[in-house]
Amino acid sequence: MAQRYIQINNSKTCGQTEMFTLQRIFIIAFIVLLEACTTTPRPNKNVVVDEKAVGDGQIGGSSQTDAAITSLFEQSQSQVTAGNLDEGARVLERALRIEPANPQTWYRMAKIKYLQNDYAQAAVTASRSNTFAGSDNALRLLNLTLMLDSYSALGDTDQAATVRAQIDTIQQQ
Amino acid sequence: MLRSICYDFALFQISIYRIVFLRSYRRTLKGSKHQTNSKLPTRRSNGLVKYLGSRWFSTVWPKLKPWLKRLLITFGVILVAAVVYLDITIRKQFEGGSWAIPAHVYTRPLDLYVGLSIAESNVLDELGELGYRPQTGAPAPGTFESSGGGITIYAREFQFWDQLRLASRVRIGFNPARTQITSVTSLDEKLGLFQLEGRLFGSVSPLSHEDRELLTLEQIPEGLITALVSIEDRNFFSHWGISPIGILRAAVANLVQGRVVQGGSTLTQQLVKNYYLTAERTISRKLVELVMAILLEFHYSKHELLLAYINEVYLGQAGNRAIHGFGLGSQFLFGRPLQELNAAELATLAGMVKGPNYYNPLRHPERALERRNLVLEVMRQEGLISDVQAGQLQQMPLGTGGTAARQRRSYPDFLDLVRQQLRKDYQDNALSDAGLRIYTTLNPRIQNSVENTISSRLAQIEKSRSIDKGTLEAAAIVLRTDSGEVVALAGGRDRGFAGYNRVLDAIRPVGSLLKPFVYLGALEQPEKYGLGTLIADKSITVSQVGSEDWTPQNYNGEEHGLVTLIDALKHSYNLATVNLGMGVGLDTFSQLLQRFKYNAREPIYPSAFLGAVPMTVIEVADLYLTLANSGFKTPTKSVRSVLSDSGDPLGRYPLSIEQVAKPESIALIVHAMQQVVEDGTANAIGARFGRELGYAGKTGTSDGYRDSWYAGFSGEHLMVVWVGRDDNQPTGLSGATAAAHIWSDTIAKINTRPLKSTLLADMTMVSIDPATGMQIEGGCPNAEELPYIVGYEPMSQSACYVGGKTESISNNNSSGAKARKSVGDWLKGIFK
Repeated sequence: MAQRYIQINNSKTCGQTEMFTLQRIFIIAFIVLLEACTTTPRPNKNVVVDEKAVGDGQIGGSSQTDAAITSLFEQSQSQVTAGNLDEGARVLERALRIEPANPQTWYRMAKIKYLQNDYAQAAVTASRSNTFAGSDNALRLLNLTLMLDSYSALGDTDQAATVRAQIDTIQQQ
Repeated sequence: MLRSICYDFALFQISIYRIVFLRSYRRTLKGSKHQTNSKLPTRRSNGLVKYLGSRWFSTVWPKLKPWLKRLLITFGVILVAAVVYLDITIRKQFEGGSWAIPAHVYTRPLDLYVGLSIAESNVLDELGELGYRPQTGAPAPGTFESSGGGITIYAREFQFWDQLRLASRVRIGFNPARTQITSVTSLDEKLGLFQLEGRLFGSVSPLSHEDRELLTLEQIPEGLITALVSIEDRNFFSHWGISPIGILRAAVANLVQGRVVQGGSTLTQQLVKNYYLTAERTISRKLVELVMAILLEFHYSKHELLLAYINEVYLGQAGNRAIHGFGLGSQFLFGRPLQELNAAELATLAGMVKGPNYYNPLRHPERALERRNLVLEVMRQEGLISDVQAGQLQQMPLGTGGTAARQRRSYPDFLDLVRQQLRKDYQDNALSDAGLRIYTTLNPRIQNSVENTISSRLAQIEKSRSIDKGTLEAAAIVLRTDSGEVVALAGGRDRGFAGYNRVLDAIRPVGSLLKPFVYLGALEQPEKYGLGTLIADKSITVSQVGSEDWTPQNYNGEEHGLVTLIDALKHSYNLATVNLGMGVGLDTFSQLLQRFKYNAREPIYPSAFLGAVPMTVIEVADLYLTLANSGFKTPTKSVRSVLSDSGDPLGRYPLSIEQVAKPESIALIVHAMQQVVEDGTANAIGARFGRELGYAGKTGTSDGYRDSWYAGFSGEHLMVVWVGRDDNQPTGLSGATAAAHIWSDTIAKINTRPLKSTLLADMTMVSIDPATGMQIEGGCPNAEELPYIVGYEPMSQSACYVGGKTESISNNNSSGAKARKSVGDWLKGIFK
């Protein structure tokens, strides 16, 4: 029966096993280390709950959803550590459904895209994280560094220079 | 094929040898009789010749005899070949598992986690729609108990993308107001979050429209087999495919009852009839059926046949979808898996076999009840259930109403979108016959809200405006802004009706819905335009290549002179928009739409500034999604993942974004769209929700009031609504008087995040004098606070202009100093 599913777009097949090189292990270790050094800021949430409202009740309740987000971050991290990058990203998508404006989730997603060698997605996802980062300069720097690496990997020197200038500006503050 | 034929011939030869061997064996047993009997044929032929005594015969017969022999042999060979052919056919089809199982489509799973703000009633609704039954202690999968400040759920086994969740119990605790989840525990373990599975709500049908859900032998309740065998084929476990006794017994039973209560066909014959043959009633078909039934019994065990029967049987029609098999039948009629049905419900299903449409419990509940009770009576007579049990079961209701009715809700309009998305990646036959599981993004709670709102609002508008009843149509789509996931889609006012899908297929002029993109085109040039820039709302005549000169008008026919850019959008001034558009340039506008991935069907003319561009609802949603997403484009999607029939992950649609506009420019236009809601053409929405929710949107009305549009978003959902007539006649409804109401009613019913003012790090709020478009001090009575990109603030003036007079501000505060400081920056911006 299995041969009857014919999927045209290979890019969307799951479980793409990729070569787990020594270089990648270093990158993961580096990012895990960075991870440990950063805080997990939460965006300010303006909570309005209509008791009769239907839907998935996605309005997060300030830090009350932390347990769910933390649990998903842990799940995602263990998938990444095990080399299951796509699965790690999928778990983060679940976290985004709970808190769509959480810059940490977007940043973690950007890191996974980077590890997947999808540098264009890594750069744009880090940039998305920055739109939610507000005044959290530590996270903004992490995002910009990831963007710089991504644009450098893409060979986009113009964008890399722009990002480098932004990094300099923040560091001077 | 060849191998199979050879194998069949080999089998046939073995059968012949077996017959010959058995004969000779019997003859051996009979001893001397064998010799005597062996001469019989000769004696018989001699006797025949003697009896006929005809010379003609004696001369003709010897010549005829070999021909007759050949004829008989030929006939025999044909007969054998036919049997072999039938044998090949039945085995090939039976063993190939050749059921075309359509792709089954599921709603999104519901995440339950600590801190989630959700009314307990919503979780109970979700459980009801999933077919979970309230039962003390939640003793079995598919049951729950709401008590003691929470809900205990015995969740069913479910194959998620990443894991098979085994049936398990979980306790969801709520706050005293029952509006927020405070704990999620499984046995003694605290869980971070728990997923309620999605509901199977439809399928991607093949051309035959046959739909079924395959069961394994272990999934079939004993009660169904008992009921089925007692009413349809009492000797099933002892006959060899056909049952003369059964036919006799059925005839007697029917005679006694005075009506047809039992059929003479065995279950095996019925299987053959359903599985292999057409419905025609001819003797030859009946003969083929008998032979095939015997062959089936020869090859397969009773349980294999029973399983095939249970998966094959036709159980009625749901629109153009033919419900086959007891598995899907149970889901469709009772909203629960077959294993969770009680004996009475199983008897109802067994009773339907005789006439699936005639005994359909949804359309003919009385007939179905009578038939069910007859099945139970037969079971009682056969001693399979006691008198007391039969009495109790016969008193039970059919069980196809209530939550089961909600379970049958299908969303054909949403399915259209699913099909459209999957066809890009999967071949048609994979979708129609490979039994794929499609996990979608559909949120049934929001979908139901949209459908209910459309239905009630259109009726109300028709009544209040004396519009002919039933002439208005509507279409609406709701998406999550962060991921582009479509959570609800209504292609018309008739819920559950698979017809013209106005979200995907109706192409209508969008009116003022394109105006934000004209203004965005300007705001992307911050050195030239800001929200406070003055533009002329004055008459303009535009030359268009290949057509007459175009002289647009405002809706109220008035001109408003110089107005700020934000006011022009807020009040949807046509003349100001066209003047601005001409200043920005048609090419720039056209390129902006392309950048937002809109492929225009026709060349873009200046009239496009006012929305003379036909689009579908989903195309509008696609454009607005990028506005709601800070300039990050994400494709709209209705499917999260696809699994094989055995639950193996096949494909996933991961989040993917592309930056097509600067977040700062988008923040400016979104601010203006928030003003549209707060103080502009959609102020009714602002008044309803209050400014703190910050919803953004834009009304749209096409020429002659033919199309009423509203596109708006919160911090989490984007919804686009169209109202109009299918015959494109004027309705007299503007965007604000029809579509905006549907938007507003729907958003009021769903939990969604407020849209916060998104001032980015390099943006600042500046006080503007709307009369001059220049910066003034914040204390001026006519000052208007507007966001600007740092470095592009307008030139400042030091005094207030009120009613044409200059008034000095005595208190020269810090904002004034800041304003003066900004001039330098502004000049710097110009010369950058």
